[in-house]
Amino acid sequence: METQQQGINGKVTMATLLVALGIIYGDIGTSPLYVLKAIIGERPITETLVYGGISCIFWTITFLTTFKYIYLTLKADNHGEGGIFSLYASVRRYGKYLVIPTILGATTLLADGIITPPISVASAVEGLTIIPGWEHLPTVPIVIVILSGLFFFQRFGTQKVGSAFGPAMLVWFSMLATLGFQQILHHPTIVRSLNPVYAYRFLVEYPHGFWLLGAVFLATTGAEALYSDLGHCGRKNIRITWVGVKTCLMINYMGQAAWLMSQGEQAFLQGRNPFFEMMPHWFLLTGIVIATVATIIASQAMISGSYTLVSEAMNLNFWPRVTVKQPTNLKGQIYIPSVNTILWIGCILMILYFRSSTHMEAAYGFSITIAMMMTSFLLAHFLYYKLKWKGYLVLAIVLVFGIVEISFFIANVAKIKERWMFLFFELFIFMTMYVWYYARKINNRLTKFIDLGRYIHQIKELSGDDAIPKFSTHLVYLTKANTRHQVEEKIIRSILAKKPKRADVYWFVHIHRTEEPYTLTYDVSELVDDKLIKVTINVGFRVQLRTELYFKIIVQELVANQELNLHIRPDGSTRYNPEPDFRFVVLEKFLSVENEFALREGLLLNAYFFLKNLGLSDEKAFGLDKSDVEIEQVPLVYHAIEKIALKRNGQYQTVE
Amino acid sequence: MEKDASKQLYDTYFNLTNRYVTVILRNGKALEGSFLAFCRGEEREGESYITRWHLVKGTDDSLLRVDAFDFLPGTYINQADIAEIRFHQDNSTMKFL
Repeated sequence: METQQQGINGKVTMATLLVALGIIYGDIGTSPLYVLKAIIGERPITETLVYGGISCIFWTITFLTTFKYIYLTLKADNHGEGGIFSLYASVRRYGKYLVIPTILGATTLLADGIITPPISVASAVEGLTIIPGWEHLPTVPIVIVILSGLFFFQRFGTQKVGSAFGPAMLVWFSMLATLGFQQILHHPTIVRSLNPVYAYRFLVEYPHGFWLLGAVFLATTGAEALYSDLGHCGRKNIRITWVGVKTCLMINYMGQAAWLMSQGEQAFLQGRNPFFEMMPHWFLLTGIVIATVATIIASQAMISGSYTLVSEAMNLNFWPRVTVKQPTNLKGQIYIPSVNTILWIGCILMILYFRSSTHMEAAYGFSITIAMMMTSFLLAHFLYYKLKWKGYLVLAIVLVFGIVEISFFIANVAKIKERWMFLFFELFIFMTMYVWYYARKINNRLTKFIDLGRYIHQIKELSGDDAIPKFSTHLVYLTKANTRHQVEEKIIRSILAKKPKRADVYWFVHIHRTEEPYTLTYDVSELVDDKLIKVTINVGFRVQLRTELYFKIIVQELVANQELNLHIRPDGSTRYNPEPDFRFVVLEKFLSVENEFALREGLLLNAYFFLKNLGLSDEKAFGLDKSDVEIEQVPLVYHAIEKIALKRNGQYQTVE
Repeated sequence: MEKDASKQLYDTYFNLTNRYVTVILRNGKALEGSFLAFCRGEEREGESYITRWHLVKGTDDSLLRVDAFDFLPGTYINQADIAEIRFHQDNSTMKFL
């Protein structure tokens, strides 16, 4: 039961570079569709605005994407994996407070997931309205059909079409560079806009220039995705491809700027998109098709990223257990139906509410600024504690990023009025994670363990007591205890108290979620020969849990190695079926009515059990087959009611 | 790294043959009995190995001692509230800062 790391991590070949191109640059790569249009808006075209805008884009991408993410954050890998939860898993031991920035970062990443697909696809499809005769083409239904199709096909996975993503994005980036270069030739002085002086003038001298940072920021919104996909592509592949991607992006941005300058000073865009306007007419339809394909690939990457994020959240106990499916044999590829439905509804509501990409631009980006700030905060801990960087250096990095990202955050705050409905969605995600995490902590705090050694004698006696009907040949309990001699008190109560459960062999299986993403190993220790056996299965936080399957494989291996004698003590039933049976007992907690709560704990625990009922049952979450499972309800008593004013009236009356 | 005090107590306690102890709390209160169970902390999130102990009267700790109504006897003690423990087996003490 061993797994191997993604081979792609260490290798750099043309194929791995193409894969990287197809997976991680969808979001940042399709930004030219709307960034410059958002910066110019309804303002008159001036050199300060256009050159300043390009300069800001260049230095923002250089500072936030190249320096922060490509150079710095990609160092913070957790056994090859990236993303905010991997980062948290690496540093969580250094502070309990790190939970909140992690939840906040993950919340905002997920929330922006419902605007990335509609804004990208709408920007591409709106290009069709430039084609003569199609000016009044209704783009909203087309976007809805494309997005609905995309979400519908998620259940089949991307194994068959995934290999085309890389070449398709190569075509897209080639198109960006070619179109941009063609315009730069007409206005070569646009290259001067890379000078940071223009960015300074834009922010300081242009009227309300600072607030335009909200639009500039759209050029780097995909940077967080680079980090999340580290495990799929590997650091070297991302770094090498980024050089080409950034070059293509900047050539295109400068090409758009050159086209803008060719419109003359004080001209207005009047709703036109410079991205499509600079295309030759004969190429327009082809260009729009390529752009649409690129935005679909970008949306696909975002949707897959959301599945991964929720799956990691579940494994790190931030999210209720929901159904996770593996649509293909591709390792790591998962499909979460509930997330798919939520995102689909969210995306459709977005396009119906905003109607056009221009309106969405005014709402997009705010969440990502928060996600970036949270990543910076966690990254500082990683650099200081894990990489052992000097404190003053980490502080300097935090200060510099802090200033830049807070500036972007402030500039994006103005978008709240356009995106108020997101706040409900974000609050829902945040509260789900907060409740699940902290209520589970309360739950754990109340889980009592005992020393198993004390009860071995009684369990052995019970096992051999033929006066008690046999419950099963092999009785399996799932335990949270990670040491050999410990087990939950409720398990011992389940075996010994009330109606004792007699079995030939008692198993205690502990699932250990490792901080490494793809671990799948196990340890076995016999407490009493062939009678009491403790098994620890180490499962990486990216591995889907299939406890029963793992358990059966372990038993087979133990029998094959002659470490376990799968004997069965004969009784009446063995005459008819000599094969041993396995029975899993799942102890499911419920909130006892005999509780007295403080306000916070009461709310947390009630919300927790409400969410628990909405999510997967324990046996499904652990990957157990229903026919082999016995569910036992165990009351959770947080604080027992102590003062009960129950008075007796009169004497005990006997029958005369 | 200094060893977690609760882990030290755990290791010492479960190596005893006579597990009768006197627990002196930080508020000066003294309790006698044996530990029936304990609650584990989440070490990878910086918590101590044991966060709470379930103390019951008497020395017989081999039975769960749950009555027919599921009422459990005894007291819960937070690890952080323990100032000192005296082990009756050898009259030794363990102090907690």
